[in-house]
Amino acid sequence: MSGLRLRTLLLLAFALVALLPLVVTVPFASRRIEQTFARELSARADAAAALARAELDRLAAEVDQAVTACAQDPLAESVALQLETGVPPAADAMRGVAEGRQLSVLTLHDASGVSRSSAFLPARVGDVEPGLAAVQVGAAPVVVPVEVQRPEGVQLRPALVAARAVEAAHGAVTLVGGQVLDGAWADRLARLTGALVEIQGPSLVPESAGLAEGRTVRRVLPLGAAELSLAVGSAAVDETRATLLRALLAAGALGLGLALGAGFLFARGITRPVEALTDGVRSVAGGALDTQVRAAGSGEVRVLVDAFNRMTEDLGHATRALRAAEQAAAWEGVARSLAHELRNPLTPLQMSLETLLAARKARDPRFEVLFVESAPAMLEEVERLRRTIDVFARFARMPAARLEPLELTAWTEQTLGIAGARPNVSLRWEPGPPLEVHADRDQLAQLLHNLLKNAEEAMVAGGQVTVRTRAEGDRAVLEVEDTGPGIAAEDRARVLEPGVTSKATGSGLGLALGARIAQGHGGSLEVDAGATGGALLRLRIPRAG
Amino acid sequence: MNDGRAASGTPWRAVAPWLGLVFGIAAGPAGAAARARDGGTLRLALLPEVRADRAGETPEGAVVHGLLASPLCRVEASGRLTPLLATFQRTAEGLSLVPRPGARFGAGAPLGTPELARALARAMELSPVARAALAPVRDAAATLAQLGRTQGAVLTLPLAYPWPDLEVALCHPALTPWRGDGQGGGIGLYVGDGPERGKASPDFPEGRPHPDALVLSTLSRRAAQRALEGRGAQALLGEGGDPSAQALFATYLVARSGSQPLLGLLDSRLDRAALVRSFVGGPAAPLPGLLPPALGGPDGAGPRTAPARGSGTALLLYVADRRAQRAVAERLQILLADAGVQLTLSARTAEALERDWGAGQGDLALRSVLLPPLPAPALAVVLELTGDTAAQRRELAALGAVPDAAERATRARERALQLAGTLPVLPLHVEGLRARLDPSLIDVRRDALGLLVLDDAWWP
Repeated sequence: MSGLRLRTLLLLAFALVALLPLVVTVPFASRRIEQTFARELSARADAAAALARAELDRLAAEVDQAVTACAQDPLAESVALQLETGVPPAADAMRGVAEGRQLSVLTLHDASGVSRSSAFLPARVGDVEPGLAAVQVGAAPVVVPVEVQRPEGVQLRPALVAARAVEAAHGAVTLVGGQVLDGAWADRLARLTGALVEIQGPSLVPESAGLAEGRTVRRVLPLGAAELSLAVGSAAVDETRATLLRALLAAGALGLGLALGAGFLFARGITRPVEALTDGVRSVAGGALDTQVRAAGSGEVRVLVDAFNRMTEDLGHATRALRAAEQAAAWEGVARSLAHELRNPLTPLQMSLETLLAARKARDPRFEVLFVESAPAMLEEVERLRRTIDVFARFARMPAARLEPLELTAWTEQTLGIAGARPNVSLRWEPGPPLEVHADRDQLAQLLHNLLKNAEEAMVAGGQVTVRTRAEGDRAVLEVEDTGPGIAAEDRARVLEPGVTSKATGSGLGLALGARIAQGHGGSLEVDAGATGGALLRLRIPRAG
Repeated sequence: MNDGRAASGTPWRAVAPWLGLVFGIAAGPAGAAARARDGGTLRLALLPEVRADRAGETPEGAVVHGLLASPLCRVEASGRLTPLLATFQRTAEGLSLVPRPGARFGAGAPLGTPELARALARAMELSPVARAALAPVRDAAATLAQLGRTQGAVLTLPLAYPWPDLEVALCHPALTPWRGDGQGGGIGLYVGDGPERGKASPDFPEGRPHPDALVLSTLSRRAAQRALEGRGAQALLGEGGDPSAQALFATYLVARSGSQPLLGLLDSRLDRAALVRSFVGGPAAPLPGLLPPALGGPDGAGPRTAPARGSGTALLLYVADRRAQRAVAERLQILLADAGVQLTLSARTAEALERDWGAGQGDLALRSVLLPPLPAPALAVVLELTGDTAAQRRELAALGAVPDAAERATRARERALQLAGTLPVLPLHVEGLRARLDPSLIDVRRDALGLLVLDDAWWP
C-alpha cells in the first residue's frame, strides 16, 4: 500500500512537472497569438479597402475611356444629329452604341437634361433624369443614383458614370454612361477582396456580397451618393488560432503522457525493491525467518535490501539455534519425565524385592505371606511401567493426519454419545451451527478423548464438563470447559509441552499429543480459563471451502 | 372563278402563260416539256416577332396566317363583303352560314356546318374579338356546341337582339376556321409544302392565287431589309408601314375593378403622343378614345389633368413577344414608379395571357386587338375586354336596334365617348400594318382591316 502511494505520488510529481510549463505557456502564447491575428485582421481589412479603391479607380478609368469612345461613335453622332434635326430617335437607339463596351448605363441627354435615347432605360426617354442630368460634362467619373428597371419594379442603384459632349452635335447633346455598382459588381469585389461587400445609401437598394464570419473589422469608403463598406471576418483567423492552440495543447498532452510513462517506469524502479522488502517483512512475520529479498536496485535501496537479507539470514541462524536449544530442552523434559515415571515404580519394586530377599534369607516364616502380599503390587508397578512406555511410544509414532470431509458439530454430538463419564461428572453439550471441516476422524477422536479425560482428572471431587462448538470466521472451534481448579496463568504456556502436567498422576503427554494433532490439522490448541475458573481448552481448525 | 380572277387582273397576267408557252416552244424540246412560266413564288420576309404570332392576332400575323388559313369572308376597303369560305343569309331567326362548296381543309376534309360551328366555338375560347363578334348570338357557346354535333347544310346563328353588323364581324381573322386535330389546320390560298413553304391551293373556293408558291423566311431585321432590297423577298412584314393606312390594331390597358384607380393615375401622367413616338414607333397613332381615329374616334389628346400620386403595388401582364407591348409596359412601370406605385411586370405568351387574365391573375393587362372595321362591332370588342357582359349586352342591343348603318356607327362613336373613363379600360395607342413592299409588286391591295390582300399579287 505504501508502495502504491509512493508510486502515485511519484506519478503526480511527474505530471505536475510536465503540466507546469504548459499552464504557464498556453495563456501567454494564446494572448500573443490573439494580438498577432488582430493585427493580421486589421491589415486584411486595410488591404481589402486598398483593393476596392484600386478597383474603383480601374473602373473609373474604364468608364471614362468607354464613354469618351461612345461620344465619338458614329452611331451616337448620327443619333445626336437626328435629334438636332428634330427627328426623334428610337428610345433604345443607343443600345447599338453601348454594345461591346461593357457599359450598363448609357443615355443621350439634350441640353435641358431630358433623356432622348437610352441603352439601359429607354422607358425613361422624354423625362429628365435628375441623377444623370447633374453629372458634369468632362469631369472624372462620379457615383450617382440611377434608376434601374427590373420586372419587379424600378430601383435606385449607385452607378459610376461620366458625361461627355457629343462633338458632332456641337455640345447640344450629352452622353452619360457608366457602370451600375450592382450585385454582380459587389460579388466581383467580394471575390477580389475576400471581404463582405455592402453598397448602400439613401433610397438605394442595398447590395451585398461575400461573407464575413466571426468578429469583423470594417472599412467604409464614401462614394458620393453611396457608401461602400468592406468587412473582413475573423473566422479564418480564428480557425488558424484554434489550430495553433490545439497543436500546443496536443503537444502538452503528449508531453504529459510521456512524463506519466517515464514517471511510471521510474516509480516502479524505486517501489519494486520497497514492495519486495514489504513482502519479505510479511514473510518474516509469517514465520519464514530466513526470507531473502531478490530485487534489482541501486544506491540506498540496494543497501537496504542487502541489510534486510543479512538480517533475515542472521535471524534464520538464530532461530535454528533456538529451535535446537528448544528441542534439546524438550528432550530433556521428556527424559526427565520418563526418568520420573520410570523411577517412581522402581523404588517400591526395589523395596519389595529387597524385603522378600531379606525374608527368604532369614527363612522368615512370613515369607510366603509377604510374597503373596508383595507379588501383586510388584506386578502392578511393572504394568505401570509398561503403560508409561506405551504412552511415550505412541507420542513418538504419531502418524500424519488423513484429512477427510467431516461435519464437526454432528460428529462431536455423535462421539459424546458413546463417551462414558464418571458418575460424579456431568456432561453438558452446547451444539453450534453445522461446521464443515477436513479432519482425521481417529486423531480427532483421540484429541477429544484426551481433553475429556484431562477435564475429568482435574475434577477429583466431581463437577461438570461443557463441550461446545461454534464458528469463528473461517475457523471451526471446539471447546471443552471444566469446573475444576483450572490452570494457573503462568503454566498455560507450558502445559501443552510434552511431559508437563499439573496433576499428581498423568504422563504429561495428553495435551501435548492434542496440540500436535491440532497442528496436523492446520489449527491450534489453546489453554484458557473458563467462566467458573476451571480450565478451558479450545481447538481451532480451518473450515472447509 | 379562276378565269374571272384572271380577267380582273392586268393584261400581263392574261398573256403571261401564253408568253411562257411561246418561249418554251422556242427553247426546244426540253423547254417544251417544262411547265410554262406562271405566277412564281411569293417570298415574304418575316421578322421574328411576326413569326412568333402563330395565332395571327397582330396585323402582320393576320396577313401571314390568312394565306394559309382564310377567314370566312373579307371586308374590302370599300366596305363590300367578299365571301371566302361561307356565304351568309339573313333569316327571321338570325343569320344563316352556308359553307362554300369546295372549301376543304389541308387534309381534304370538307368544311361542313359542324366543323364551322366547332371552329367558331374554339375561336370564342381563344379570342376576345371572336367572343365580341358572337356576343349577339343567343346563348352563343351552348348554341355552337349543339350545332357542332349536328350535320346540316346551313348553320343558323339565332340572335338575341338585332345585330346588323354580324356579317362584318364574322369576317375577322380571329374567327378563321381552323382544325387543331391534325386534319390540316385551315383552308387557305396555300397549303403546306414543307416547313415555311406552301403551294397554291387549286381548290380554294375563291380560286387559285396568282403566285404558285409561298415561301416564308424568318430573318433578322438587317437580313430582311437586305432580302427586300435585293428582291429576294416581295414583302417584309414587321417593319415600316403606311401611316395613312387603316390602323385598327388597338392596345388598351385593362384593369381589374379594384385596380381601376391606377388607370386614372396613369391617364394623368401619360403622354400618348410621346408614347407612340418613343416607344411604339411604326405606323401608330395615339388612342385617346375607346375607338381609333380610323373608326371615327377622337384623334386629339384631351385636356391633361395634374399628375396624380398613388401608392401600393400592382402586377401587369403583357405579351412577351411583342416589342411594342414590352416598351409600353416598361414606360407604364416608370410612370407608376414616379406616381409612387410599384408595378411588377410579368411577360407571358399571348395564349397564357388570355388564359391567366381570364383566371383572375394580374391587376392590369395590356391587351392588343385588331378591331373590326365598323364602330359598333369595335365597341363590342372594347366592352368584351372589360369582361362586363351585361353592359356589353345592353349597349349592343341598343346599337343593334338602329337599322341604318351610318346612324348606328354614329351612335356607337357617341357611346364610346360617353363610356370612356367609366370603363376599366385605358386606351393607349393604335397601330397599322407594319409592312414594306417591293415597289415592283403589282395588284396588292388592302382590306377594310388594313391588311394586305396578296391573292392577285404579281411582279415582273
